[in-house]
Amino acid sequence: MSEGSEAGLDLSEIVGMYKEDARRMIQDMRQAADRWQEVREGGPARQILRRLSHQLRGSGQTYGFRRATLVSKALEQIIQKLENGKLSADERVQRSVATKIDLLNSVFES
Amino acid sequence: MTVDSESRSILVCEDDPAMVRIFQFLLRQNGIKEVLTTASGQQALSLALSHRPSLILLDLMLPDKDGLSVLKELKENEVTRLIPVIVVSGKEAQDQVRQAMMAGAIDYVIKPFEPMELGSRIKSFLERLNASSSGGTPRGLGGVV
Repeated sequence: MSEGSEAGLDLSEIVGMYKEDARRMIQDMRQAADRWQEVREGGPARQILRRLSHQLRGSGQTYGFRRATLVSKALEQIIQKLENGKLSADERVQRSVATKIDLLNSVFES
Repeated sequence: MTVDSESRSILVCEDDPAMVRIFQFLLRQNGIKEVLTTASGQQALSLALSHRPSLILLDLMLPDKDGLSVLKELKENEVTRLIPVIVVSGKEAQDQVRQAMMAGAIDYVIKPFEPMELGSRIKSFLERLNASSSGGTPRGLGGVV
């Protein structure tokens, strides 16, 4: 079974629009992650990453994209740990965030 | 006298357009024609006062106001206190669920959710509401999705 077809209801009418929205959100996430200094300092880029990863976590599996929810959840947890001071925004974390955004992108590529 | 779903309005307070779209889809499937939507908690309070919807679907993380505060204000206002509220939130901590239920929510749905499950709950709620001769508030949908 492919991603996007797991939901019990026929959501085909709205899944196409969702995929477009998701791609835009991922693009915004990538741009935010590129402003790593802002992410490090808790500026607007970090807020964008937090808000969009939270939204994708909630909507992904709801629309049948389970992997989007799993990856977004991991991303949201990283941002929460940055906010709580449990993680420092070093290069390793930056790479991890970039990798997760790439993974998200691959979910909605096709 | 019974009232059918078509004549009812439902208020959706949610800042994620993707979730708004799925709520609209589920509500349309249940015969609801008028869906009021807003991403603002403050505007949700105004819309609830002016339109007195049959049901409110409320997110907890809103850009301008904490959803729990919105819920409490709805329940403190004489005009809106009987409007049933289903909280739909990504906050899954038991404490959050308890606080929302204590504040007067009739149900708490955790995102992500299974659309068919929420659709069934909405359907069940509307059937009970429509069958209610007083048009009163059916309570106790119960549980957490």
